[in-house]
Amino acid sequence: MSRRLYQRQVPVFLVSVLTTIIVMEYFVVRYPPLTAVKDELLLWGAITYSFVMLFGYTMLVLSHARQVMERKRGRSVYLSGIKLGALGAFLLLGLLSPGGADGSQYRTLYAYIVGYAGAGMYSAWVHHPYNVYRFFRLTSIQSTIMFLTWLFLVFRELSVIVAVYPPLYDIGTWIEAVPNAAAQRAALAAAGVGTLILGVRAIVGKEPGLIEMEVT
Amino acid sequence: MSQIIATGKVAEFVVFIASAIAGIYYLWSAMKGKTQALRPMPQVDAISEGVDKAVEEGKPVYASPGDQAYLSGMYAPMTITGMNVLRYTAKLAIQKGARVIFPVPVNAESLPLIDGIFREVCVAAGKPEAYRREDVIYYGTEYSLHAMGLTATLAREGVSCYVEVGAITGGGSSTPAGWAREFGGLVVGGTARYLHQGTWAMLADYPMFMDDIFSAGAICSGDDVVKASLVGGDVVKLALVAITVLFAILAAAGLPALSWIKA
Repeated sequence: MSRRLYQRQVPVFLVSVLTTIIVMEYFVVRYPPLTAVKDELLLWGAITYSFVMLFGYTMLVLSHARQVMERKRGRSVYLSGIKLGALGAFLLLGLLSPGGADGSQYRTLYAYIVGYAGAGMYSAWVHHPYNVYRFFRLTSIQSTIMFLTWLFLVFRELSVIVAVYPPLYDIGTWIEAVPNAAAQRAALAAAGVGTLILGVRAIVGKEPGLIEMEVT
Repeated sequence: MSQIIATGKVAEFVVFIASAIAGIYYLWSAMKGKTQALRPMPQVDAISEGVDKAVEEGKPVYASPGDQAYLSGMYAPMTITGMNVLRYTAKLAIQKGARVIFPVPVNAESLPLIDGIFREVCVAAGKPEAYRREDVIYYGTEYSLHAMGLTATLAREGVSCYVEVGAITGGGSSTPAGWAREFGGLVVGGTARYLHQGTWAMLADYPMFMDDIFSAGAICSGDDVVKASLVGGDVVKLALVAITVLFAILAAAGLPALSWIKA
């Protein structure tokens, strides 16, 4: 049996059949037996995806374990050691502390170590507007329109400005509700068609993105 | 038809069927040898320029399918097309001798795919030694950790070219993308998430908007059959534009056009 058969053709066939059932259930009038089949398939999909996640995390642990065993002592070796150590520590905490991973000890330690570190790192989001202000240039009609759109929406949100000149509230609201909504619908329709075409390619086995990998 | 198709879904069904027929027709005609000429995408050409820049500067190229590259749900198509662009970027970089760093998304299940593509590309290029396990980097499940971890890598290792196409959030990607540009990297990026179009308009030298990412994925695949399917999508989009204008005129004329769509 060739690898192409079991790595490519059989999965594509299964995906095609399952997708057809789920798409049919979405479009046709309510038919309880078909809905039950779809629900069962989605449940199996969730179960399968759990194994995919498990595979991903196993690969992650193996990758760091191999890194730690490298003879050459570089920064990445120590970082991998810290990651594996943290994994082991939280695993032990989850298994041995009262209440397990849902217990107050585990949750408190997680919140005060990972949560607080993460919260500190979220402060780096200030770079999002900073970078935007730095890189923005009024060099084209499009960027000028974008700037004006932003400006009028900011005016709408600033109550001082609206108090001085009330029509600015309506102008901002109109920009959001009319031109923005029109652009959004056109953009979503285009992306939706693009997604459908990609889905069709995947179903007929012509999408190389994931499934072609390692098939020789 | 309304007895078979659920009420309110007829218009959706028609678009779905039209897209499927158009896509399959152009796939089929391409398989029969009738390929379609597509205009080049500057964003895809820029990846090659960015890799050349990396070779000259001796700094790495970064390739990511987005910080939120889930394999299920609405993000899965973006992930799939992002993997095509990632593979293309990695292939160019390995062939030309540039180092590639792969920031792994917050969902670790995409790690085996990225790692597999890296290995495959290195072997296919005849340079298995170019594979470096430590260059496939996972930063954790929190977006903030991904953003800061990746920014730290950019600062430590330097950046010549930063390619991030796929399923992207603001929190995990905007900070590193901005810093990649700040550090002198050429930034190519985009997503099909409407909310983040402004982010990439600001932060990328070569932004991709909405379905641009699907076109880029198809072009990066290098497969004429895959590329031909884009034309099917364009036919449907043109039809949708024509229908929108027609229905707007009908509605302005006082006809109940909106209720026909909702049938």
